Amino acid sequence: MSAFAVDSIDDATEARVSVAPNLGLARRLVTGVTQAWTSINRAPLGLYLAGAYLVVVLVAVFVPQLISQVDPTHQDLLQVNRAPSAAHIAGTDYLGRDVFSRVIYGARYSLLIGLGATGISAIVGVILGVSAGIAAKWVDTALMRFVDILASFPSILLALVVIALIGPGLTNLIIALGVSHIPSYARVVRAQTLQVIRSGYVEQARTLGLTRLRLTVRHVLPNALGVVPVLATIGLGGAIIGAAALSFIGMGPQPPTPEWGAILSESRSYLRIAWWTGIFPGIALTLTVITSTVLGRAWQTAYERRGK
Amino acid sequence: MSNNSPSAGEAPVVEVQDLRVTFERKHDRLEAVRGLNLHVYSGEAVGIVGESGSGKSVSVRTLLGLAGANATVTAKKLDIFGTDARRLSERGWRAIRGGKIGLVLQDALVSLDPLRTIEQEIGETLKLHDIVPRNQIHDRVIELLTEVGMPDPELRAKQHPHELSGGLRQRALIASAIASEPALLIADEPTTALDTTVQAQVLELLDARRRAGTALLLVSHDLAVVANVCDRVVVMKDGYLVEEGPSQQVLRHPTQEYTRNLLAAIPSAESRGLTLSSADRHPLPPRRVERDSIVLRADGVSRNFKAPDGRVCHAVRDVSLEVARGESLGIVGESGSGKSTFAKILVGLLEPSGGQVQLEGQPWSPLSDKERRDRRRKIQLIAQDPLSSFDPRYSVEQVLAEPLQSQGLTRDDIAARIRQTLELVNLTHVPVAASPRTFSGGERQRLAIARALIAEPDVLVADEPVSALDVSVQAQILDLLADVQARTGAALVFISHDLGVVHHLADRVLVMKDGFDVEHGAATTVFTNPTDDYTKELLAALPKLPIPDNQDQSKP
Repeated sequence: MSAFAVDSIDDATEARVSVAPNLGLARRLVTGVTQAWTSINRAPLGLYLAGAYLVVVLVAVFVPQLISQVDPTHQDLLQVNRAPSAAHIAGTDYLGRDVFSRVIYGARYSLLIGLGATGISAIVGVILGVSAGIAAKWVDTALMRFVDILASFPSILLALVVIALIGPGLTNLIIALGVSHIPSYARVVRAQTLQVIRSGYVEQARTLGLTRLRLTVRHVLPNALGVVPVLATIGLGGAIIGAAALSFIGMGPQPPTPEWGAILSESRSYLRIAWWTGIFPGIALTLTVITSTVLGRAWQTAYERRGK
Repeated sequence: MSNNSPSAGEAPVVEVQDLRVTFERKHDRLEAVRGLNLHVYSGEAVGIVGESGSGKSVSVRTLLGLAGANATVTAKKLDIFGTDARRLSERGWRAIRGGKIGLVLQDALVSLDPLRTIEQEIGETLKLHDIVPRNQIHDRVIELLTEVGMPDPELRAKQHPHELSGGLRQRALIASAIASEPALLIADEPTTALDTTVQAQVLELLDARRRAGTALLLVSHDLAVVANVCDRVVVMKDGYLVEEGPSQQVLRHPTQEYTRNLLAAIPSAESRGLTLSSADRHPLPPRRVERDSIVLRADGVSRNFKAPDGRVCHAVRDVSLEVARGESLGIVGESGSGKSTFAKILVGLLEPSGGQVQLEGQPWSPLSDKERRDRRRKIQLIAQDPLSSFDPRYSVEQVLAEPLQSQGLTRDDIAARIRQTLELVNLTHVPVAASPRTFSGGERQRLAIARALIAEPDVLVADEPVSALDVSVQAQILDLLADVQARTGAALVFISHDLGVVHHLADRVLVMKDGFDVEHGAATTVFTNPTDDYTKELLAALPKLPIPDNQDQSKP
């Protein structure tokens, strides 16, 4: 499982540098997997499964007690590295903690980091993108060059730089990941804003004598920002993977917090004798990322088809 | 017409009896063609006319075996070159397509592969059907291009579709369609996207093929085009064959109500001052033109754009006009003549590089956006594509309420005004909460007109407001505009590439070419007695309808 996490970072970094500077960390990889997966499941079955999984994740986030009553940080040194059994359905780790419980309680951290980071990227990206779209040309140029500079770093590297500046930890990880994904939102929102500003209905509204502010609030923002929630849902998967990756190398929440990336990191040394400590958090992580991408893509399809 | 009618014993190139095409869709079935009879002989031109959704394009595609995967085709007889096409395999169809039947489509830009040169495009047909030995393909391509009147064929053969103008692209497409010397040439709206003068050249080209012995099947929504090229015409509506016969006979003595309405709907010199939307044209409501009250005036307006390569492009050069209250001014010109740029300057969406616009005697164009804001309602734009001029999230109500905001009206006042305006444009049957997306093209344009009117403007600037509409819908919209003008006294600046429409409605006309005002004056003078060469050329290129007999009688 550790191999999976490390590979995904390398692949994604390479992909970013060589092919698609616009795509978020690991999103390319995720997209590839999802596309293959959805093409097998043309039917909305995939959507149902993703929806069902989402419900499980939400329960794990808000009321993990419903799924597992075992304390995820409770150590039992007499039950170290036990294989899955009736007592511990996903086994125990090197400190005798219940892996299943750690995975369930860890959903909260991974989701929090993913949502927080995506929120930061989306909000800052929207502000930058809209400002660049509606402001004077020199403002646009200045903002977009700044965004270009951000985008020219591989996002994982940018996140590492931010963490190096402000230190590791949960909040700082959220900030670092959030900053590193700003460019893709800023660019898309700017493009949408420009498109709306040049549209027939904004032109028509101008002939009615609307002020610039009204024009922006009433026509430009609602039409330009419709795509942001869709982007954010798709981006969430990338942010969660990014969070796990940074956590894996120790830049996230510190032990004994049951964050998925941290669990994976801890399992690394024991993989040969206790595969279950890596496999189960790995599966949870992968399914969460796929789910957010599947739901996001479905939403995107519906969004792009609206009115046609 | 009679000189190229077929000899008695000759079999038709295509013979179709009771053709029916049905599309199976998810929840219902669409009967696109319901009983079409058609026959075309060599050297004969047959036109299929009809409005959108009449099944004309589906019919000709069926003759190529291209009706579509979910289409069910049945016919009592479907003979193509004497073979029963109902039994043809896909392989059999391939030999017919591009070989025995050539197809020319409307938009040459999407019909030609953007990655291939003209020579590769035409050469492919030659290779595919083994028409000439490989080493002669180049020579044959040049020959074909010369035949379709392509200037500088050696150069053009090496170019890609995007490097050619619309007219030249259409020529290349025709060259490709005739490369295999097909016995039948099918042209589906071949001139619809083209300017009038280019249309005339393309039609001449098709006619030349017919004279050379090719059978021609021309699909068009434009009766005048068909009348000028075709020996026989088939009128279709909703998949049914409405009327069929020799062109002159059908167009001069239409026997069916639908054909008569279609003919009456065509705006022209004869329809001036009359309604178009019914077969017996009524006089239009009288309109008061106040000569002394000039509501809109442009003095030597120019507009330059900087092209990306740094060159300056003169879109509008020193154009002046005056529009009186209640007057209709037509601006005609082909694509690229600067007429839309000029319209944008008039409504204050673009600033002129030189000259000035005055609205109701007050300066308009030199003012800042802020200073103009309060008077913007006085001049309103009606766009060509109404749908894109509505915010996609807005309902009918929201679209119409927007111009009324910041006028201090109560909600009841606004609702009442919306009702009145919808009545004015005959759009009372739609729910005000509906989205304009669910409307037909005509309804959308009515809503766009309503939105312009609700602001109570003194000037309406309409930029190609009917060019995307079917003839019968166009007739309703043109009648509506005349009615609205009579009731509100608004002046109308009507921009169009269609000389017939402008001749129908304009009091005065301005002809534009390459940004210049080449000629202006009273519409009747300019259209009957043009002084400028370009205006003469435009008028000569306009396909003319034979005058129906019922109108012959009404005239002395």
